Amino acid sequence: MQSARPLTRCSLEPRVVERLEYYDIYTVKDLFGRTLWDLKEILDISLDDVQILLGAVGALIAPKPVTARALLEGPGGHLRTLIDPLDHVLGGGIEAGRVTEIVGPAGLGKTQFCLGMCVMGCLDRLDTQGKVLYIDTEKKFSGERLSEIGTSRFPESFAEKGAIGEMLKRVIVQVPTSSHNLLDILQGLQSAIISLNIVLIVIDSIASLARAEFGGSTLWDRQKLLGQQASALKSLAESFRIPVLVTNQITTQFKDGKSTLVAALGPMWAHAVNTRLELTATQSDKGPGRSLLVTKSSSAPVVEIPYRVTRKGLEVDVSISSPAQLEDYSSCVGERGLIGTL
Amino acid sequence: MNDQLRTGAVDVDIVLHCLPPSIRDKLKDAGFRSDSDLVGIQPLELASEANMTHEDALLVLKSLSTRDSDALRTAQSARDIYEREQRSKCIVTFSMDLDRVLGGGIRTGQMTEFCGAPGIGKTQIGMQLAVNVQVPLSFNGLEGEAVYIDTEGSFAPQRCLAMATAFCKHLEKVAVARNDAVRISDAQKLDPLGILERIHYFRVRDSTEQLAVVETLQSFIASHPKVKVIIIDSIAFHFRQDFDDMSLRTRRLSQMAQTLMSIAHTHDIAIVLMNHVTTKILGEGKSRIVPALGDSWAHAATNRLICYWKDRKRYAFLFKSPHLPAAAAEFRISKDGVRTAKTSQPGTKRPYEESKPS
Repeated sequence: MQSARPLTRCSLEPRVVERLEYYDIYTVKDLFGRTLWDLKEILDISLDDVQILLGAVGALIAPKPVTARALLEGPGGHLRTLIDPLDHVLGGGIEAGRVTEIVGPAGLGKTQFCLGMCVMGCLDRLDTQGKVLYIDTEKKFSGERLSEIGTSRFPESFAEKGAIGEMLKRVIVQVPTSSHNLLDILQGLQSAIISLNIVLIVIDSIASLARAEFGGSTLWDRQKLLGQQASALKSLAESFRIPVLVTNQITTQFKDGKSTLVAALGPMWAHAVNTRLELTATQSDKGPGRSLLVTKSSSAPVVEIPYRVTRKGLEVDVSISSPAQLEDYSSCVGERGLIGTL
Repeated sequence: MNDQLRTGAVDVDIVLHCLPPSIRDKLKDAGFRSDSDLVGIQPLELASEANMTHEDALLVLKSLSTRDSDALRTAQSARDIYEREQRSKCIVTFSMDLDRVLGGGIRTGQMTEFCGAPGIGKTQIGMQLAVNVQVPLSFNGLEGEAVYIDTEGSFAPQRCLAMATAFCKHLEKVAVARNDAVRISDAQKLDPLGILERIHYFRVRDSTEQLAVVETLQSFIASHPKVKVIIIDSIAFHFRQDFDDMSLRTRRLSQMAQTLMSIAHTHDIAIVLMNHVTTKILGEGKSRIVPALGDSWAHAATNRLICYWKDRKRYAFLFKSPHLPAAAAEFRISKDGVRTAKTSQPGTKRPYEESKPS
């Protein structure tokens, strides 16, 4: 992070740096953490000069602008999910450079979705032998199930003996010991991503550690840690142009005497993820079913896609009529989706 | 003393001048308490009495004279302000009801804040405004450029391109319907990629970068004078997690707000801020959704709107504005971008077609 740059490397006069260090201001972050008046007193210069100083240091670390057009033409990329309607609305699949969250009650298929994406990640850039990092916080990863999904979906690709073994070797599973350990892993992941050529990061689930370790009184610490994890994930996703997939759990919220199901980890986490997919159980005249909804996305409309969990992972349920695109993006997610009426 | 009576200036305490602390202390030690003590004194005299260099003495006297002789130099009459307001143009949102509630659209020279739950459409509004600021002058628009400061990675270039494409088509259709040759020609000159070319995108990764970008905005605007809107999406994200010391956070936020407000005012630019919402516990099992960043932040923006869902529809409620009444407007997000809700009242005039005094 640029903000950690020490002031000694900011082209400031040594005398100024020394003065600042005397007051425990060592990095750019420390400098910007002080008010103008504090700095005026510390450096014994006028307010205008303080602003000039901040402007000069700011210019060194501030991100440079690009035009939106350049962004368009930059490296993009989506990782197909093989759920066609979903790939269609998301513009090709789960987006590289963003954090996509899949949230839902236990047993509806979040882990299955993640395992399916592992297969897609391995197949995506075959020539580059990209690897998938699977951070497993609930010890639910199953090599056997991954193998089954691979061979069911792509029988030809994995027909050769040993081919599935080759794929399994490219999925790296890491089990963090705590939320802080998870943050440490994320913050130190840059070299691993480069040396191992990681093309997809999956965290299943981001919620369990946080919810287990933090309770009522430490909720603020939990939110702060989650925020840091979110920033780290986004930074990795964007810097390396890879997709990041995280799973989240459901909790019950009591509001005005009623209880509703909402996504865990609170509204701040919901703001942090770029795209949110929700899995929900449904009831229709054909009996119980499952639906996947896109409930937060900068580019996709709200869509409801009925699905089933099969040997191949998650598949569109074709027995139900074609997925509804909720008209004009206007149908209220708040009432149907798991965010609850926020 | 005569000087003071003539200019009618107020006798100001030395402490209030923006002088470096060491100079200030020297003045106090030498017995100078306020401006009146310094009236009529010459630099050499002051230098020797206060034991400072000639340059410092001159600095002191210069800072004085700019204060007492022209205290109201930069003041404007209410009429000047009124005329300026009448001339100011708006950036339309493309939702007629929302534009109406905003008094025509997003105003330049002011800070407007949109807060709301995730998924309500804040980023969509931000992207739409980055496109709509480019409405040509012949359509009564600002024909300006946009700065988009993205703190969360929400900006979606493909989606923005879709909005820009729909924007061009829409303007052309309107121009043709009115058979206005100038407008038709201007609309035809627009192209979606060109629109995206005029959106300057900054991606900030933490609160320090956010503060740094704001500090450097002045010089960016100086080199890009056509910028008419600065969108920060969202102002809240990094500030909610990077700070442990709440009072420091408040001070840093207010400082940032002041810098932004000064940019808005000096360059007549619209500043649009996206904020999060949080839950405020009211006790007895009740809670309310409120804008994030606390009560002190509430004073920063000129106009504030909260976006929310109701009966499966999207609404924006203007709850703070110095000159507009509180009101709610329904809006819709379609594949083309922000649009008027289908249940809008017919006959509502499109704001950018209203004839404005030239």
